[in-house]
Amino acid sequence: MVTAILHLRKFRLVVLATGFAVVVIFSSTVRADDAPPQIKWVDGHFEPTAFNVPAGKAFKITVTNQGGSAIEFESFELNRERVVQPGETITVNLPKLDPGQYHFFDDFHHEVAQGTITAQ
Amino acid sequence: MAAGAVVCVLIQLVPMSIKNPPISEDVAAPPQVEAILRRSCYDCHSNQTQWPWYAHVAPVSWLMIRDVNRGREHINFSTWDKYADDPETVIRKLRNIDKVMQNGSMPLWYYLPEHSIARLSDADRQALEDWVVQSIESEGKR
Repeated sequence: MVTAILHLRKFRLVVLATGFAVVVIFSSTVRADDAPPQIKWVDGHFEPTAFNVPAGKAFKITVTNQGGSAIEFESFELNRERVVQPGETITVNLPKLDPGQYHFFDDFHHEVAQGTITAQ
Repeated sequence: MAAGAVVCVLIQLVPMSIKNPPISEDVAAPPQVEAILRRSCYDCHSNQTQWPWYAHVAPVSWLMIRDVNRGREHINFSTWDKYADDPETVIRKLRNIDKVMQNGSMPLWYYLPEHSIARLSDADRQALEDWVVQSIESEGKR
């Protein structure tokens, strides 16, 4: 009788753990598919300065300017040039990329380090 | 003197490419505007650069290649389709064209003595401004 109860508890634990794992995996997949990568301009620099995107798939990124003056999100390799006013968030459409690295920078603040998008 | 001549000869051996990249899609503009762009802008802002003979002679070639590469990075009329899926980028490029035409910073002053045909008249500037305004309006509706 005691052994049967212990088996039942183990079974419940396995079911719960499996369910939890499924929820975690599912939610992270949904996040990766649906939520565009976000870049923030904070304290005079981009955050993050590097992130990955899937190659061969069009995607969007959002750029939020949390600073006190306008920035210009620009990338020669991605052919994008967008002004972002303080407090504004913009969405940038990007085409399918070949695997590789694509740099972006703030054309209004050249002294700031470039960021890198890696398509893989 | 002799050392200078040797250096001049040796720098010609530094490999430099002045091959124009392929055109993916030229900017769409009315014939009059297209003619102005080709005459005044295309040497540095397209993949249809007309390289003069001295573009093959170092160190002039180095400076020309640098300027053309920078020009293409900022705006390239031969790959306009690459901006097209982000209308706000197209609008930004158009505003930049208008700005540099109106403030006279383009064409570059040192380009003009050898390319007087690139000089913009008041009528050219007006035609470009009208085109920019119309294009921004149509991009805004997309």
